[in-house]
Amino acid sequence: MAGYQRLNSGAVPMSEPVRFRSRDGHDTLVWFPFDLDRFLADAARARNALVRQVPPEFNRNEWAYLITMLAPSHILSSMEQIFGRRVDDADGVVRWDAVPRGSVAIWAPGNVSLLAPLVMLAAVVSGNQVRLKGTSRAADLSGAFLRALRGTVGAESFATCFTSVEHAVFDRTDPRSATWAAESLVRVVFGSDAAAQAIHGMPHPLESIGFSFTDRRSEAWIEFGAVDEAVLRDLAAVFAIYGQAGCTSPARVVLIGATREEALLFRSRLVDAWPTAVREDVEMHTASQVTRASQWAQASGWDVQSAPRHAAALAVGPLSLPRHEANHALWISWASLDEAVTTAPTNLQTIGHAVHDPLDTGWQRALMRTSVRRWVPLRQMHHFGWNWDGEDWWRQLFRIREWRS
Amino acid sequence: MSAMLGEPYATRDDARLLAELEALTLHHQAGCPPFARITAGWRPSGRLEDVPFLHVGIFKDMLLQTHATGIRHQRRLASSATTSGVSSSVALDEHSSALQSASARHVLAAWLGNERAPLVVLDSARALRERGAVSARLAAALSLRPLATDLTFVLPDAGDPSGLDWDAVRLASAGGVITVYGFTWILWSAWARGAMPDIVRDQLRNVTIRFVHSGGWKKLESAKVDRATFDRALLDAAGPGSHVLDYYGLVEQVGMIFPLCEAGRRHVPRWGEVIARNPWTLKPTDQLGQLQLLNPLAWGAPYHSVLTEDMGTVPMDPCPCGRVGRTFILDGRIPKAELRGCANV
Repeated sequence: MAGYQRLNSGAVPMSEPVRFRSRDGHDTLVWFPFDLDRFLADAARARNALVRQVPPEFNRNEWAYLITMLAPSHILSSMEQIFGRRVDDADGVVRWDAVPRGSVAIWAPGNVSLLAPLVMLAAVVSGNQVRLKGTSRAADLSGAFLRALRGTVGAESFATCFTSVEHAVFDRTDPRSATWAAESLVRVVFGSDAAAQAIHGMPHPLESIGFSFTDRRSEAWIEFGAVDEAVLRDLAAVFAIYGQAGCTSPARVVLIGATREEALLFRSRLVDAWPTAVREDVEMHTASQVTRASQWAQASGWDVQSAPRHAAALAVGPLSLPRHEANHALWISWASLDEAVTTAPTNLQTIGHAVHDPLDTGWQRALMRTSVRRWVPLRQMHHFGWNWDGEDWWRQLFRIREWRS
Repeated sequence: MSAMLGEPYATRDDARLLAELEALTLHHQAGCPPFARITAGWRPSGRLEDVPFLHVGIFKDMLLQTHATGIRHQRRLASSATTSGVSSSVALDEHSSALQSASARHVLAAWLGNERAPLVVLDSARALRERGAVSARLAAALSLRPLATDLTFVLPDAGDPSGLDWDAVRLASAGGVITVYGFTWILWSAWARGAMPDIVRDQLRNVTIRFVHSGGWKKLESAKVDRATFDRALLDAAGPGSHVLDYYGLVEQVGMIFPLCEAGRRHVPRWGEVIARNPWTLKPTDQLGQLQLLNPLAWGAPYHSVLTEDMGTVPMDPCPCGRVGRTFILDGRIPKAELRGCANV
């Protein structure tokens, strides 16, 4: 058993360390305050119990994403991406050990339906003591996810980990933000740039670190020749979940090297594929806003067709046309790779690709000229990782100690 | 000019209304390029339901104007920003304004009578002095002007209902009949719940007051005030013959007003039409749907056919109140979906 120091709370007992091995044979011992195997087994039970219990705060798509992240295989593979392959033997050379830093505070707006709950989940899995700030202005989705996890029957050790999360709902002026900043060794802030600056600007321990998940945009880059039914379904699915409101949602689709005619054909096929990927109707207000966005786009020179039952406005036009901040309008343009690069937003987060060879050096050279943080297949655009936004953030929830003989 | 204006609740000449609306659509296609792009491919079909519409939100996104011989644009009508924080902007022109004024006059006369009386407006006169733009509240108030002998604004600050100028009310009501207009919430907070001085209260007990209000009930619902309570509070401090008229109208369709009758229906004048549409298919429905409002009065901009964000049903049976013509039952705004996403929403 070992312990780690938490501010104001003394030592917490650790289980035996879990050993991970990098490709060069060096091992990292990771300490958790729980038995990892039992935790993973309970996570599987919890997932099975929760899979059909969609809380009213979430829609089915959102819940499916969240539940996917509870899969033991996902949790373990996320850890292995950070520390290397999990091993049970002692054949490797221990070079590091990793101890939870102690305390993580998360400031989460209520409407961040995927990212914030997943950060909370990952922070709990790291073994740190977690504080979670919800919101009183919107549905507190992180809080709703937390309640669901706490209530899992038959997975008590798992549920207990979430029971220990301190969850509070308060607004941005509440003095508890200052208290949490002063007492936490890791600050994770979702919100505007100004909100993140305000939190990180509060007095905090010198050895603490902070992460900000702020305003980002994402795109889909597609080669027309690489389009098949799966690509069309993937695009519809990733767009439908948030429209343009997600930082990992495709705000525009760029058909690299395509022509206008190919873009129109692509849109037509996308309309046909939409119902096979998205089976639920959008909310009535969204359908109405799709009508509005369609008319704005038509007035502005876009060629527009609605996805069935006004699920989205699918607009085709050159990159030079103005785009509207309409949430459920998908802007589809054709362009050269150079045009795509030069018109990419400066806060580009993710590019979802559907291209013949995504690892071709031509893509790498082009992406070097953008601020993109992720280049992933279309269907993985929303797949939250424990390395995110260019930050190896989950690893940094641990204090890494070096061991040399 | 629409020759249909006149008695609003008489048998409608459907063919004439359709012809006017189709001609108006062609007029806007010819003179308003964005509208022409939105309605590209449309040709008169001989059916009212095929007359193309603009979504009400488009007026928040862009200022649409139709240019044609004889159309002179004047001021811009701006709605107060709603919860979205964005206001609508509608281009007004002389020709349409005359038609809209006549429309409002005919409808109001059918409900209030033709007797002209001083008009007391629960708003600030400051808006009158703004150049280039006129607020929706002011436009709603001014639609009553044809029935007014005099016009008095009684709120020095439109944002402060407690500042109502009761002396001005007393002076305006000296003749024994007045019309009082205000947005629903302001009429409640400034008048019904206002600190009416005893001397004014005593005088108003002998004054016939025609209360006219428009605007949503959201704030009143929050305050748990129902229509009966609202009407009673107003009429308790008014003289014999007083009554309350609630009407619905769009900023984007000034001059078209839809009063609420005692049977709970909104009445459409015979120069207008209402269609309920399924929001997911936009096909006409006899069920609860998104309301489309049409009229042949808008020449300076294509707001003759507007798809609202209000829900309602359009009964096909005659209204129990006995008035002739199309009616609808307003259900309220489309429930707004919470926008979800990431840190940037």
